[in-house]
Amino acid sequence: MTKASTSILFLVAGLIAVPGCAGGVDDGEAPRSAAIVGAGADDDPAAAAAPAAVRDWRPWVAAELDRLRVERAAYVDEVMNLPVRATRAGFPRITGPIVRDRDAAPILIHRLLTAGESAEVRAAIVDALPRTEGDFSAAVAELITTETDERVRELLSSALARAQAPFALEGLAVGLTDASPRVRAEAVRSLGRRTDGASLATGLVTALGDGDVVVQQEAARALGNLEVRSAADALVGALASPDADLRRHSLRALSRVDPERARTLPQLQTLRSDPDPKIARLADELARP
Amino acid sequence: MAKRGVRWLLAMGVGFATGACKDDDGGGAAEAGTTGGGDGSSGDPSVAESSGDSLATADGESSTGDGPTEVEWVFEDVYGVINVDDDDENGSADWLQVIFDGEDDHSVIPLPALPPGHSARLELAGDLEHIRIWRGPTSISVGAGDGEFFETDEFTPESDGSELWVEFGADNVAGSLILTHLDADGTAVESAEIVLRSSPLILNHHLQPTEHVWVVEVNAGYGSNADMIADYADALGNLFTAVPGPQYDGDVWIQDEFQFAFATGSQGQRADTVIDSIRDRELDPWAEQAIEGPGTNVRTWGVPNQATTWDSFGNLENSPPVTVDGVEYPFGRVYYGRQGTLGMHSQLATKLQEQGVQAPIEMDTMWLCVGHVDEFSTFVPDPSAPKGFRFVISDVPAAWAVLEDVSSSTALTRYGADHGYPTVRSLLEDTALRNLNDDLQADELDPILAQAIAEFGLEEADIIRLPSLFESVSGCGGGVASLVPGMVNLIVAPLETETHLFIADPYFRTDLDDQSSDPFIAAFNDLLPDTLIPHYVDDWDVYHLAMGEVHCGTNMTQTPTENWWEVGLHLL
Repeated sequence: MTKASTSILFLVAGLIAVPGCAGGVDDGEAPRSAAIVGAGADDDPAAAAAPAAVRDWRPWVAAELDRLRVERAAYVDEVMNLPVRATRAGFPRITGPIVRDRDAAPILIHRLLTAGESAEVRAAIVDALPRTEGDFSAAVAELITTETDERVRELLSSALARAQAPFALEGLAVGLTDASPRVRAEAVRSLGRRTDGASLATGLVTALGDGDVVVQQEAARALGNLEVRSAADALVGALASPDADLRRHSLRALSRVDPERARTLPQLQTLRSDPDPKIARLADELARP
Repeated sequence: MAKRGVRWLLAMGVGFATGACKDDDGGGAAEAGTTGGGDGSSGDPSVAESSGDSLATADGESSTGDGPTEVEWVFEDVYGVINVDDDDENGSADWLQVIFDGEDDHSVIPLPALPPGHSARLELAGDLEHIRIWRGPTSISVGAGDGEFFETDEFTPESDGSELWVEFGADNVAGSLILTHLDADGTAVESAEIVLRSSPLILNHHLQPTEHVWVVEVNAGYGSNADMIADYADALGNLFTAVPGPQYDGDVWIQDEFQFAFATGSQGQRADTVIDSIRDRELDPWAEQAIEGPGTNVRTWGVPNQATTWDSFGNLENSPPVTVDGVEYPFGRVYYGRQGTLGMHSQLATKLQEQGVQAPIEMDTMWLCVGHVDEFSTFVPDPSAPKGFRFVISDVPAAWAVLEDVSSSTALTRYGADHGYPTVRSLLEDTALRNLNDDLQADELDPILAQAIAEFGLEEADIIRLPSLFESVSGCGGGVASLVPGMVNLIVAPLETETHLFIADPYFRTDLDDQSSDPFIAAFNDLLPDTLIPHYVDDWDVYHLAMGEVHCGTNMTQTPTENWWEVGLHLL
């Protein structure tokens, strides 16, 4: 890890509450959310088979490249030159049988760092890393601190949803404070998908008051997914937002973090008449005995 | 005539002769055509009138003393087609040229022989800019001329009768022609009013017979669709063609680039249109290279540099014939994703609205990463159904039911690397995934189904709820795409004796070679009508992982089955 990135991680470390530590997981409850976890953290055979992530990833990538150039030279060339392809949505991706291989991870990281490719291609490389099921966690967590392109950082934030702990949380803590709202929103989404995402509950509650309404919406959804009970007051506050999507996500999140409070909410009657039919419908459902 | 057309004619040195400029050599009755204005009436209220298909016979007294001659002054209404294809393949739309041998998109009005000295007067009203009537291959009588619009003309038909040729330069335009038989003194003997109308541009629906099917064939680092190509070829034989992918840089999204539409005429004409999307990716030239020609034109609505994902034609679909609140839509209703100012380009949306017969419906597709209506809905034929079809819509609770019916330890061979879900348990235990999908059902799919019921006139028995799960797409701003390959994104290929469905193989199983062990396939087979032949094809690498499925990667032409002038005029 570079000194610069170490410093940044140190600065954001205050946002990360490690489970088991004081001020850690909200209310001391174990998170009951996403299946996307660190290696070996559940009983899925595939996950259990994943090796632990390497923190000192640069020498590891170099060593893996050396090994693969001997053992699978053609494959290295293939991955290094694998073209991106346009998805139906228009943005490029790297997919397919060639990248469904753990050995693709160090090659793709090497390509990301050395090939001098466009930001669009580098974003596609980052997007492909989780599909390798290889080790990319520490690399992605560090690179989000140094990457200059917004789109690439956005994809780095996304890849961290499938990265191993503790690197994922280190990287996502950086993502939460990124200058770009797109990156912050993606970091919030990734946290909402992780079983350990509530470790950054404080950052998520902060994101509920972000200056960008999409970040706010995603924070409400993540807090609901992670059932962060301490976020209830903030979610109630967000019900007054002029943004309909934020009101809806906040109401639904509240129904997940504190169902009883959601059902008895004084604002519920008003929300049943909300001009947004989705909110009105949700409020109706919650008001039913 | 549009200015563009005039300029072209001048540049090519081709000019239209008009009745106004041409000396009539058949009896001296021709007058200069008058331009502009006019109300289209015969100008002689005392004259006997007939119209359309009604029969009226009049006795014309010849002023030359040859005695009375009975003339049947009866004409069929004209329901024609736009003539902007290129039948002579000279690189120019036929509307911009004189009538030539081989031109087959005009309609004919036969004029009877008239007694010597008698003549015919034509008065055209309506859309003069897009209707033209010829009285010879190079002689315009009325309508759009060489930079002018002619409303009236008089001439003497040939001694054994003549033909008027009606040509349309646009979709769904209307006019009326009053044809008056004049005696030698110029006195009106009889008049007939004829309706002139060009076909609306009509989109195909899934119940129409298959004519031809295309898929772009690729074999690249990201995967191969050879197996899918083989499945199509086996089922459809020579009705199927693989488009060479390398020629189009691997752009496999052939559904998105083009929409096939048709126009038909009451004299047997058929004019196909390829609506060419402003998407303009690598496949853009394919229609011009492979499809355009006599009988088929390629046209575009919208501004290419304003293109969005909603301008791809997976976002432009059409229902089978429906009746809604007592109104019959015999060509179905078009539907596409658009909300407020977001969605399909307004120029195309307006064009579709203007066609009248398919009453477009706008749906909310903003929640999807790609944003197309074919990601969550389709129609399949079912002769046993009350309406002859079923509406298929993605359904989340149906998917959870499938998952809960199988062992949670079932390994999902294809889902571990590409989606992060190596087992059924990993899906079931993902609270965020469950919340995402349950919320989509409540906020998006349920309202869309309610809208479909209202605007397609559906009832519960018409609906198939297809097990479907979605996931958030990396870097797509929270937009979602299919997690389990979108089986709803299917192709219906009705043949003479059987109907094939081409559906994404969900691969929701351990043994990839054993489709019989797949609970999603079993669930869909249980829901599908027995009359359909499903083919679950491998679209995983080439389409699914790039956020599309089988329908996105296929396009097809189909045979029109109804005549709009017989069943659709109430909508025009």
